[in-house]
Amino acid sequence: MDLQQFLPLSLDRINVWIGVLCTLAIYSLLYRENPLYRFFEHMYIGLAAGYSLGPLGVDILYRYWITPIWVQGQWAWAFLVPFGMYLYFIYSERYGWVSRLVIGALVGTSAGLFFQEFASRYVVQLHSTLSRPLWMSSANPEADLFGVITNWVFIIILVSVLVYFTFSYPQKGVVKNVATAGRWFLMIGLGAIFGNTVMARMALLIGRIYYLLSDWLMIRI
Amino acid sequence: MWQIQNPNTPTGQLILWMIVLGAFIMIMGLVPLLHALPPRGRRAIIVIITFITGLFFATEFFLPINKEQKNFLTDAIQPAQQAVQVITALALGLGTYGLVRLHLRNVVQRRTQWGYSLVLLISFVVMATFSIANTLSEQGLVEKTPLLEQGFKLLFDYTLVQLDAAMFSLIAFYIFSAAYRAFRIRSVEAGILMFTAIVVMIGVVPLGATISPYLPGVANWILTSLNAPVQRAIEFGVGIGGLAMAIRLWLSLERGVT
Repeated sequence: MDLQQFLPLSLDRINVWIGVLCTLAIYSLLYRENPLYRFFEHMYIGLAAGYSLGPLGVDILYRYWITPIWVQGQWAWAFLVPFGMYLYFIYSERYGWVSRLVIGALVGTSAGLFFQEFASRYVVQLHSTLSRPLWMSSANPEADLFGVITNWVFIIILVSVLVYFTFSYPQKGVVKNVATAGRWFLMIGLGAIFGNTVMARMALLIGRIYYLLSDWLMIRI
Repeated sequence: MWQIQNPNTPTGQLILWMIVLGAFIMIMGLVPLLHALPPRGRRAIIVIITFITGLFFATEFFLPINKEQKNFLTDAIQPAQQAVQVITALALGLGTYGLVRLHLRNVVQRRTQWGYSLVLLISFVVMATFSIANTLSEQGLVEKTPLLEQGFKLLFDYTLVQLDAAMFSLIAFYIFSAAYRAFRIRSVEAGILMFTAIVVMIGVVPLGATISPYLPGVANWILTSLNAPVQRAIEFGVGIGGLAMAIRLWLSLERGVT
């Protein structure tokens, strides 16, 4: 390894060293809670909050409020920001309730959008689930034996898990057995999710280790 | 009707400034009037606003559409969504104000560990300056100087992104202790969970194919044929629960909001 290239003597190397310092400071938590970790943790929160003001604050206001008014001349938008400013009354003891006007508008919007989402997402999923071919016939020329078995497995698991989650009636007899099977299937699903999550986090860790070895220590991997 | 002619002329700009100023005075002037209402009247206004905004989005979706795939509300959807984004951007300012106020108070009153609050405030101010300047330069409103470019690159690419990746990869270490607790077989369910997780974890890496050529296929089959219907059943439950909650919120039956 060339020491001149390794040391932070150029702008690019200084940047890499800063990235390494950040990584190692965060990993120092693995030893125990310490001032270095706390320093970088607070720096992280400050940087993340500061960064969000650009793309999520100024950019949105410029594109959707300033441009329509001052460039396109759509004057009705002028009333929007003053109405949105009602949110800031939340800190006023006297006028605090005024902020609920805006919160109510946001809550109403969320509810309305969820109705849309339910129809466009869950109804479509339900349709695709119920339209799976469950037998081979001339009506389903593309269905093969493995596909039909998989579809039966799919439907059985779906129904049994739904039965497990239905608490509107007492789970006794056959219903109880189906619900028990549903719980076992649920464990398979949760196990798969857990396995995937572990592997995703491992990928992130491998990425960090690769950064330290390749970008910082300049070891060819 | 909603647009003035020649907005980019000096006269047009002056008219727009007057309208914006007038809108601020008018909307803020409404506050004392609204405050004069009795509590029941205030609640009624909040309920009406909540209901109308929800009704607008729901109605637009469920009303029949014509040959142009539109109904009479469709053209208003995009401006409405833009309005929601603007209000959300203002809400971001509210959250930021809360964060800054809390840490500023820590520093001013020299509370325990106020130094960390100072670090947070300094990093916030520096990053906010560069982030806003960078956004404005992308819109062509500010010149992109080398200082801005290098400074933003240093703060974002070499600090924030690195801290973000390190923070989330840290979870990999803690997930192992979680795995130890989860994988202790004390029931049939825990055994199934452990077996599935191990098969999936080993099956999706090259080690799985080394152990058995069938293992990656089994892991894939678990993910697509066994995991997918379970996830769909969970999603249906979430969907129905979400729908019930949306109706309660829309009709202002959730007392916490109104």
